[in-house]
Amino acid sequence: MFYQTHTPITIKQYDIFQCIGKGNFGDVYKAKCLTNAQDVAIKVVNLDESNEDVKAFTQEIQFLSRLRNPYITSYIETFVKDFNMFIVMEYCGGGSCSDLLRYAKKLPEDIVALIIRDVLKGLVYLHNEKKVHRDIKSANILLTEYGEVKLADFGVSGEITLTMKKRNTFVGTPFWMAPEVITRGKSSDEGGYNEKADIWSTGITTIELVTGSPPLAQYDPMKILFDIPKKRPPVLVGINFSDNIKDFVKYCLIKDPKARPRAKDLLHHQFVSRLTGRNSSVKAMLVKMIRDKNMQSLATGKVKKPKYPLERFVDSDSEEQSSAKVQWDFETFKSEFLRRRSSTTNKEVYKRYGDNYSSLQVSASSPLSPISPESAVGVKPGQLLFYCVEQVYHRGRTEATQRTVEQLLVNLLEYEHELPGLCEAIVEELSHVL
Amino acid sequence: MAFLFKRNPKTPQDIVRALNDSVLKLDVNSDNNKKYQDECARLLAQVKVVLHGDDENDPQPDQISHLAQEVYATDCLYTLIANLKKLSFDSRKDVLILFSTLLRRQIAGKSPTVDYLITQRPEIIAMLIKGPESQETGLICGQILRDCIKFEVINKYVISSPLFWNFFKYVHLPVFEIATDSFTTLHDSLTIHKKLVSEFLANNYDVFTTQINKLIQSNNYVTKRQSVRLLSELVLQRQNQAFLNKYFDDSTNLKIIMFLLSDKSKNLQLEGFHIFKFFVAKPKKSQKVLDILAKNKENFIEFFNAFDIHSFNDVNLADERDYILMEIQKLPEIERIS
Ligand SMILES: Nc1ncnc2c1ncn2[C@@H]1O[C@H](COP(=O)(O)OP(=O)(O)O)[C@@H](O)[C@H]1O
Ligand SMILES: [Mg+2]
Repeated sequence: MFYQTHTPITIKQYDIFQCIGKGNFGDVYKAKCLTNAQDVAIKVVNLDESNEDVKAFTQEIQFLSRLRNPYITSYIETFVKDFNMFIVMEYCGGGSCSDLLRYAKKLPEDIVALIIRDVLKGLVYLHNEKKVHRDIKSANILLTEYGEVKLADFGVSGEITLTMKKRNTFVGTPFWMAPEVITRGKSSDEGGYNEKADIWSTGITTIELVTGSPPLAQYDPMKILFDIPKKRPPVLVGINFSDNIKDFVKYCLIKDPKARPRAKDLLHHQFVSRLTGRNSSVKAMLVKMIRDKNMQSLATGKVKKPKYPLERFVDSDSEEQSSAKVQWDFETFKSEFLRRRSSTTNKEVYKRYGDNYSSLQVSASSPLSPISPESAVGVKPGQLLFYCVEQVYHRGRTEATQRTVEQLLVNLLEYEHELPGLCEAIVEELSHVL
Repeated sequence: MAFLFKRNPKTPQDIVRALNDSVLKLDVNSDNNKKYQDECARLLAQVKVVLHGDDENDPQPDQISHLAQEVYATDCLYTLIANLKKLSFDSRKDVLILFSTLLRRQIAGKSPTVDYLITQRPEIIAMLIKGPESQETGLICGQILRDCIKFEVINKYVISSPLFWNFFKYVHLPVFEIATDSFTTLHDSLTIHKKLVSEFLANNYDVFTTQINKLIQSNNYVTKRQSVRLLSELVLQRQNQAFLNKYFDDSTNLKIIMFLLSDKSKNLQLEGFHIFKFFVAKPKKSQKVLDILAKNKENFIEFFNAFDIHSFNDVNLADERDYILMEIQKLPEIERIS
């Protein structure tokens, strides 16, 4: 059935297949859950890419995990591996409305009405929860193979408008922005914008779906940022379009957010309410169109190329472990000792096993052991044994004593080399007794 | 046309009483559970209308007042939080709305709900702190608790409780959204009321430092980033001076921050730097800190020459780096033999 070009990459309990979408901070992949064979979509976000607070990225999860509604992509789970965050969610096999537009160039009005009606239903839920999506556009409206419509991408929803400029979302999608969103920064007394911004974007999206692109798409997005608040709202014109859709768009694009209708009011508009009774036939049209689109992309074998190749975060386990570039030196006793003793007869032994000794001493990854002295972060328990033997060495009054103790240390090094972990085990036993 | 004047026949008191009754009937093992869940949902929706009105009606202050009185008198908040898990997903959010609205309600500049929580039912706060232990209700409890700690007395109650240290465990929970939500609560409880926190940190230096250091050394990148960021915030807070004096004299802390400097992640290096610089800039350093700094002089010089400051768009960074480098070069060559 499903034609597989290459073998999947397995992360946690998921087999990750091809890239199905590109985002600003990562890519979206199709994957299969190995425990229940369910298809899922996984959005991979590289958290080290930008120096913004990770909260800006976890916000999306905080948002999504609090929503449960048939018109919103459902959230499954999130996990972190290395610098990447994997957001697992319901798979929408029809892709985004933007993908569908790319295939069909423009969509018939009935299909647009169905999509927009379900978008409004999603918005009614969202706005009732006192949440604003802030990025409604065809690329963020997803479809299942059964023609279900789901809002997705809550990456800029919630309270993070301040950081929008830093995240390129602001630059990427000004065409859909409500005038009050753009002027918000200037008139501070306005106190932000509210859920009505989503209504404006829904109006723009309606135009996008039925014509193939949002108004002003031919212009530089940065330039139109200044135009949108100044210009009169866009209107949908042309004999190809019904009065209903033109009227609907006009209502969505009322400049004053207070006068702009709410999502639940718009559900009563003729443009969408007309569907009642014809719902299943329109849905069948949509399903067919989705199937044709999917067939075509299978046939042409065109796959989306991820912005960040997937290979980057597999097989990285080995080199991942804190490979410090700089080897910090925290021991005020060891190097001195080794240096001083290196002229003795045991020189060779140090040379052979000394590595072991010093590498133990600067290893970074060990947890704080309960028996470590206060300052011994990063010191493995086994090293304490070396340390203690060394202290005993210093206590030796005669040279003979010292030589014997030194021999003991050298032997310890040799045994540790043969049997790594030996010294640690001794220290563990000692700590139990003490 | 009598129906035009139809009003809700139930008084707010009736609603609260009915809600208490229905919540107590909830039982996940019972066949009737769905019925009582729906009943609770219906009553909570009515509570919401009393508090916030609906399309036709504005909220009435006297009705709200009756509702609040009945909620306190019947320990309704306790009943709701204790049984939160049994309520439906949407009802739990309505509990959040009820709780938060009552918290914000002030009479003569005081919140009666805050009073009630502290003096009558602190058990509720304890239950909220332990919220993250349940996957179903962790997020709701977190949100309610964060609303609570906006009030200093509750914040104080929370950080004084032995349960507070649980948050350092919760941030490691495998359910990502609960772990990060717990971190937000931890963060808020240590940053909102500055004076309160400065006393707390001064009195709990050892435990707090051990705990935050553990988080910074975590294997989880998100935990690391968040905890260093929190520490940075605390470090920048002048009021935390007593804590900071101890913190920057402790060579254990310096070592942990040095490992951040050499971390693979650029962002952790940067965050590490913004704490490291205070170790170097501190006028009177402890002997142990001085030893480690001196010992690694060459390492630092090598490190800072390679430190890729241009990848962060921070205009002050170059100046800061140069200053720190200069200070490091001034360090004595000698090494103390202990
Ligand atoms: N659950 C999903 N199912 C199918 N495709 C998805 C899913 N989520 C995202 N995509 C695809 O990936 C694209 C980018 O995802 P999105 O969440 O919008 O990321 P970004 O915030 O970076 O824009 C979408 O436009 C869509 O094509
Ligand atoms: Mg998107």
